[in-house]
Amino acid sequence: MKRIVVLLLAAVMLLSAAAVMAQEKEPVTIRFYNYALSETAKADWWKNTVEAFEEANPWVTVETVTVDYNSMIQTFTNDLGSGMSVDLIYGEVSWIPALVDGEFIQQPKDVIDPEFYEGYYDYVLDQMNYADGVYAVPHYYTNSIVFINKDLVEAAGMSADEFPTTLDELKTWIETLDTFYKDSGKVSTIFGLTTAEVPATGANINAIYNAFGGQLLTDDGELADLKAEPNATAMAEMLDFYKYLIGNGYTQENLKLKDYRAAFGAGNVIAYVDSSWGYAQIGEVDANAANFTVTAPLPVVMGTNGKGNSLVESHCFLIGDGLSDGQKEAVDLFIRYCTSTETLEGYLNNIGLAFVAHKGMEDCRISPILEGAAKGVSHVQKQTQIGPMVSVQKQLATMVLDYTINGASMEDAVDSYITEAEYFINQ
Amino acid sequence: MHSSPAPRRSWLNFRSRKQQDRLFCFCLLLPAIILCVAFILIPIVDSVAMSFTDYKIANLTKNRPGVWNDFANYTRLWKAGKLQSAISITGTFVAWTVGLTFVVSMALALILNSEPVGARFLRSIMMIPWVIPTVIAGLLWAWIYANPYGLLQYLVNVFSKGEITDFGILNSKNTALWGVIIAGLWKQVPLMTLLLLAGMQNVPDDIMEAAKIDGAGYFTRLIHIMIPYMRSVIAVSVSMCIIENFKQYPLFATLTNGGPVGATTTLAVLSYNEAFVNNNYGSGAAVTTVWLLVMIVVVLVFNLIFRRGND
Amino acid sequence: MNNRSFLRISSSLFKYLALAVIFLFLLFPVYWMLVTSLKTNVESYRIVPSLWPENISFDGFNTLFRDGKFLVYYKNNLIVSAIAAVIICIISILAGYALSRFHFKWNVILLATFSFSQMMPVISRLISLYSIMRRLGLTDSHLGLVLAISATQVPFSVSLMASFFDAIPRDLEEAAWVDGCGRLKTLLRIIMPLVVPGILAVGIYSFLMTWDDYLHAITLVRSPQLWTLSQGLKLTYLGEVSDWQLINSASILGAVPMIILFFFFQKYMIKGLVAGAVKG
Repeated sequence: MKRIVVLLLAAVMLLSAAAVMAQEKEPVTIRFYNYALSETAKADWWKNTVEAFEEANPWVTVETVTVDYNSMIQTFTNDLGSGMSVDLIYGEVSWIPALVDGEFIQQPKDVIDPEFYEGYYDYVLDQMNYADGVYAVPHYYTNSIVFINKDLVEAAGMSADEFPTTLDELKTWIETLDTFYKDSGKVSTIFGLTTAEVPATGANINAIYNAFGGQLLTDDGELADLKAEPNATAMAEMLDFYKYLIGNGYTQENLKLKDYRAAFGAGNVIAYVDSSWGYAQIGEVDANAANFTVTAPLPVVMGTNGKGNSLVESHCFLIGDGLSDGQKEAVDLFIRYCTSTETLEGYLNNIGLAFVAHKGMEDCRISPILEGAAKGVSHVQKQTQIGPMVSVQKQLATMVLDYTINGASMEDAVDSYITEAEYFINQ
Repeated sequence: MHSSPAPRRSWLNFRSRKQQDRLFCFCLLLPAIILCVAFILIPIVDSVAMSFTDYKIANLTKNRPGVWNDFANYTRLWKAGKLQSAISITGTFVAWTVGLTFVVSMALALILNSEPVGARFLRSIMMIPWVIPTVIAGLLWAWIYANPYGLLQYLVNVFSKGEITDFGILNSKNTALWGVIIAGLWKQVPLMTLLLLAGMQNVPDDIMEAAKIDGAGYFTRLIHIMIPYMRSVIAVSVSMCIIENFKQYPLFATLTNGGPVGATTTLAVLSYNEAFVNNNYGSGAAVTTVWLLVMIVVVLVFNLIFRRGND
Repeated sequence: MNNRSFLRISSSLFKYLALAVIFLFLLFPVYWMLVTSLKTNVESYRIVPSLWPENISFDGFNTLFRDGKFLVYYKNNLIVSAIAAVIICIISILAGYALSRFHFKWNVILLATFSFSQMMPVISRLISLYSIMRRLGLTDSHLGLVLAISATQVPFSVSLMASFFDAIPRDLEEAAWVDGCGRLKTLLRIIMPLVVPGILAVGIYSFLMTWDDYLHAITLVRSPQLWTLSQGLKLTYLGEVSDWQLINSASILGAVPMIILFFFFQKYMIKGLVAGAVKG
């Protein structure tokens, strides 16, 4: 009896102590700008995550604000100007330069628990370097991978598990499938690469160029010498590969990734190259797409210099400048909460397929669809961020179109690319 | 009438009629003036001033004034050939869209004016494209032009008997501008037809009849009687159409975004991209300043030609 | 005789053929939008398009109505456009009357300025416009948006309204004046009732034109609960997803009220636009 009373007393004391401690926390609000809310599935996930987080940390209120991808700088400018704070942003790596130049964000190493910060994979964190340091932390990442329609490949008597590992094998693979499907009218694309002049395509072409062993920017953020080796060969081989695909009708010119995603979901595409999270839109066209979708890494041997290099893209957290200590703590807690197996596993498997970017999530299950591609995540190239990154990458699409369909010679296409890229870099 | 007998309490009484009129007139105009000055003219002047400075994101966020940069925005744009190409593409786009809109509208107006069966009904439903919001119009055509799966590429496939299987009008730099021109034509034919049709009501029937009896053929009557009578309507509707197309941005934004290979980068697209994609507001303002100048010159020249022809 | 009647028949045949071609061009795209909104996406992505949906599907419309956001954007746009139309009407009645009745020297300058500002591309003033609104504390509010888009329509509406006043004989005012009616009272009591068709024309025209706004809204309005239709459509439904059924459903819903409005008031609209333009 005595013991029970003591225990009860202890429990009461503990509880009230906890309550006092909880009360001591000053209530804090963080305004969280999220661009990923335009898709219902993602919006629902974020809503639930924020609610669960607030429940676990009653002293924090997370006020979610939707931002449009294309007008986010205006949004931040507007809000800061009207006296609203921008405390945390969920966005893309390519936003970093503009946000740093606009003095919107601070380095996460000053906010996030050092031990946790250590856990981020360096090759992902390296992509977020701009000016004087790392300005964002990744939520998860992807590289460019090949999505394959297993059913179509198997119907042609081939195995989707044995995706080619060299460029030459890839061409044979494509040609075999083309011969099989030529007159069926069932298939619009054999091997799709995006070439529309939009930012996502620019990043995709840059990744292909890296796979061919090229490097676009120097570590100082200058345009690399595209006429020196190995860049010159990588560029030439890449352009010829695009010409081969487009000229033979294996891929459609000027298509956006979202077009491929939709067409893949509708079952008209045998294979195409995309970021892993592109699957979200495939699934929207056909909810059962998982039954026929498998993935593979790009061939390791791409031309003379391609040794399996890849670039990574990630969705990341950017931390607003001028947070109070309480807000810093809340932001730290929130980011750590979002970057845990428990919170993120369902998302990575069902909503935005991707790979984990933090050691703490090594036990996290990745989607079976990505199993094929997971083999290929190595040799990640570091890429410095520059202010006009979006335009400099987007211009790659212009160069490809110039060479493949507008009849420019390779030299002219590359020369005019260099002129354009320099124009954007030297502003 | 100054000595109007009715007693008025107003202090205005002590002024002359003319002065009162002036004051009254000014008061009536005041709201319009305030609105236009505050939200149109001041921003324009501000933007022209901005075009001579180095003005980037931090200037905007931290309220720092731009720094004068010796016309660097202009020279940079000019040296890269951006301005020249944008001006020529804008010119091509405006000329073709306005020209075609005029021809198609004139034809349609002439047909409707000859009172075919259901003319009234046709005149109403004709206006549908005009009332559809431009962003939606752009999406609608984007879907027709889509490649693959778009209607147009299927039609081209059928009519070329399978020769051309993946026609994407917006994908080639030779045809992309035409894709936008067609969408612009679709949107603008209704209004111009309506205006021309109204102008035709002003053409006196008796003169047309007399000319017909004199043996003047249809086209002679059209050119020598009808068009001269319609001159002012034509002048107004064409210059409205010129301005509208010079300003066109939403169609480009939804259809091509300036591509492929810059083939549809008009001054509107260029200024938007400089300012809001590259976040170089000074440079964007420089483009709009040039844009404005070109537009003023074109409209002035057009009006001069028409006015002179009128006398 | 035979020859001539052949000529007449063939020319009228040609006339109807041309009419059919032009109308096909004008109306088929609208039909196509409607049909796509009723097709499932899998059917839309057929290599051979179907002219009529195999299974009519209202999924696109259902999605739009279910999530409720669409209705909010719709409501916001109605509010913004309606208030803008009222403001534009009031301003253009006053200014149009002034321009029509008083011919002072500075009226010419004013007219020139008006037609100049009518030519102004929106993009060129977005940044400064934003700074001004910020100083006035009107960013992220419907009021700021309404004022900005009203300003864009004022120049045309004023000259349109002026052309309606031009058609009213001056004797009326002179008579009212003799009767001891004040200037403002004359305008409001005697002249205004006579230009009701003009007011309707200006109001509906402004409503249509402000419904079309996109650039002002994305610059000046931030909060999702204040978004207008074009803005909401673009930001919510047209992200990286190619859901053509949804896009076409939204387009249909965005276009239908405008079409209905036009059909209801087309008499005034047509009259007004024609009056504005013919007067030049």
